[in-house]
Amino acid sequence: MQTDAELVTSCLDGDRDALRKYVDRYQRMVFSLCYRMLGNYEDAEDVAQESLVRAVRALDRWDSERPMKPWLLTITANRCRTALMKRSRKPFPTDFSGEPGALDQNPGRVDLAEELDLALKVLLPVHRECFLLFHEHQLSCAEVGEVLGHPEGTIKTWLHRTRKKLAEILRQRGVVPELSYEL
Amino acid sequence: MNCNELKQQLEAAVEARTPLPLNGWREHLEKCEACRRACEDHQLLDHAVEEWTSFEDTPDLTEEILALLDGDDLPKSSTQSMSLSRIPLITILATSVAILFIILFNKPNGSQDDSPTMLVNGSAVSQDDLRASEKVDLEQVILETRNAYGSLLGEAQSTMAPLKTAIAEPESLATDNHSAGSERLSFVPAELQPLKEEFTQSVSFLTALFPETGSR
Repeated sequence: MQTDAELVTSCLDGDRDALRKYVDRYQRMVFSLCYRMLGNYEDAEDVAQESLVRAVRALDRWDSERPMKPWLLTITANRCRTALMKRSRKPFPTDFSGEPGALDQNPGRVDLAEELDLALKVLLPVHRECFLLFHEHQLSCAEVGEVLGHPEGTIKTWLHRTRKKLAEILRQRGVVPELSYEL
Repeated sequence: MNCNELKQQLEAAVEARTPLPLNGWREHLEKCEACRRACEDHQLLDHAVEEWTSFEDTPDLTEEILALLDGDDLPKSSTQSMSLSRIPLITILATSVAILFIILFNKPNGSQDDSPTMLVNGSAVSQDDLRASEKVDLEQVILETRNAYGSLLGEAQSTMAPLKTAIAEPESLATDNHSAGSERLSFVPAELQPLKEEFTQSVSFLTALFPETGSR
């Protein structure tokens, strides 16, 4: 498997296959962040596409000494923020009512992933971004700080605050956690 | 074991993405409601994240993106082009610095042949020869020029004094008739005469000093 640096060099040399491989390699990551940030499939598609096109056009500015992931996520996060700003007056597309005990109507099924998705939508965009970059994209706090342009300490504070807030929302939604000592 | 220690361990576990060993905390957690809740939240979030990160429903954007990039002239490879493009730049920079050093630090070694020459009164004179005699001559020139300038300044001041008086008394000039006004200003050419003479002398002096300039 080609390294990112090799792939980028081939892309910049005009290798069409390399370009295809590059897009294939990263489109899932980019789309995922867009979808989680924007909460809408079509918007996420548009922004993911825009982000990848921008990234490819700026590949010559990528520092091959540094990892590709944070660099590409920075471009994507900026595009997401721009998209959010453009629609800032429109409500966030979510069916999350936020009413306590909503799960009680369907106690047999607790889809934690879905609940978490819904809970994320009520967070501030920057806290949501912080959580996504750390947990979904596995960036370190320092890398998240680079992407969001904030010190590592601020990112840690946001991360713990966001986790606490999400747990509160999940509890309000009727998710009952059980403490397990065996890990 | 206290609440602060547990809080620190929880935060460290989140940041390092490591599991939280709760066995050692069992006793504390049974007594402390807040800590037990914090640990429950921690585990709940970890489970939720575990399920949530398996995001499968991704569209294939490859063809659309490649179509958008069709016709784009992507810039050359950063690593390759950077190193190649830097070569001429570095060469130019190094050459420029070398030339600058040669100009700044390559002083004449004192030999007559290497010493630069200049034209003095139409004849080539070595700059070293010039320096010794010039020092004395220049001091004299500066002294004479200073005297000439002082003299000019004195003349100018004495000429300006009656003019200032005339300007300060415009009413009297206005009420006087034309001939009276003319009489009053008739001193001006006479006052300016010494200034003109002094100026002519200065020009002659400077022309003698710098014949090439004077002939222009």
